[in-house]
Amino acid sequence: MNATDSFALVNHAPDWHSLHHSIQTTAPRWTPPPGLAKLREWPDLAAVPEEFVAPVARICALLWNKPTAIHLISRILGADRAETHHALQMLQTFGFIEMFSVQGAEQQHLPAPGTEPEAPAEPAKTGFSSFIGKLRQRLLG
Amino acid sequence: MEWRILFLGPVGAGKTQAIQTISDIEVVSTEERATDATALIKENTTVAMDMGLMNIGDAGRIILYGAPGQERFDFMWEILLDQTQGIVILVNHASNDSLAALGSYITALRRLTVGAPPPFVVAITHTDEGEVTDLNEYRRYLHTHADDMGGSKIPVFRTDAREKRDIRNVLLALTAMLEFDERARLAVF
Repeated sequence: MNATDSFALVNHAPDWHSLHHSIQTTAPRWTPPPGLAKLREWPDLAAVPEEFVAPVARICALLWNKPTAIHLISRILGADRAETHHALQMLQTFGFIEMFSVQGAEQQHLPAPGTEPEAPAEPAKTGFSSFIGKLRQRLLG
Repeated sequence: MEWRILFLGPVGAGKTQAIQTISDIEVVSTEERATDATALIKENTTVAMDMGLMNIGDAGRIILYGAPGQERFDFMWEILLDQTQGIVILVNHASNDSLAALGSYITALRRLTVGAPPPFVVAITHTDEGEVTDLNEYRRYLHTHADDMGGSKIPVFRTDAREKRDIRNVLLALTAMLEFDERARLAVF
């Protein structure tokens, strides 16, 4: 996909508040589809409502690093599932991320949806994860 | 733990201000009276580096470095880059050559770092001045000229260096990028 195509797929004047309200009031509960999510581009965080800045930043950073199985994202982030899915829906609707299915050999390496544990699974607490967590708290505080 | 974040950008892009906005201490500055073309933009300019601090309690601290804007001080960029975990490139949108400025820092990162540069964020400042800001011109530029560094996936944010929320957003994004960069390196997912 060339740059022009990619830019055309992104809504560069997203109305975050309207979509947030619409998802909350009218959309049925969202189930993450099988497959991978991939970052097209970061939204301008200056335009993202305050309550979504942190989840949007972490989702985009995760997908900036590599495409990720959609149903594992909240677990990898160690974040609330509903909040993560809400942010994913908004990012997908505005085109900042794309979701696609995988076929054949690639699919065999993905855990099946529904097999992930309920509880979020951040890596075991290390000096690094503690530092990151406290830094994030400090920034959001 | 201790992280060092480097703020790069041309003279007048807001590096010192950005550090001051988020730092827990008064910025330690090496400002001198400008004597070259910089004097047309501002009276004083950073000649070695600025330094601010963010304390993270008992977990550690973040040292915020601001590099001098003039390219003749790029030996300082190299010294600072060598110790840096993450980078913020500030670009003054109100200047006539903002894309060229961005390009010069992309080139500098290629020249001064071994392998892939540390994760970086592009912060577009002075967006309340001059023409209406279209972040896409910067995204397109990165797509074309920095594809080897992530291209259009490099974060580009509208940033007022005086606003704590804006600098906070830049650092939140950079922190998350560093987190997943490190987790991928350690294969901790």
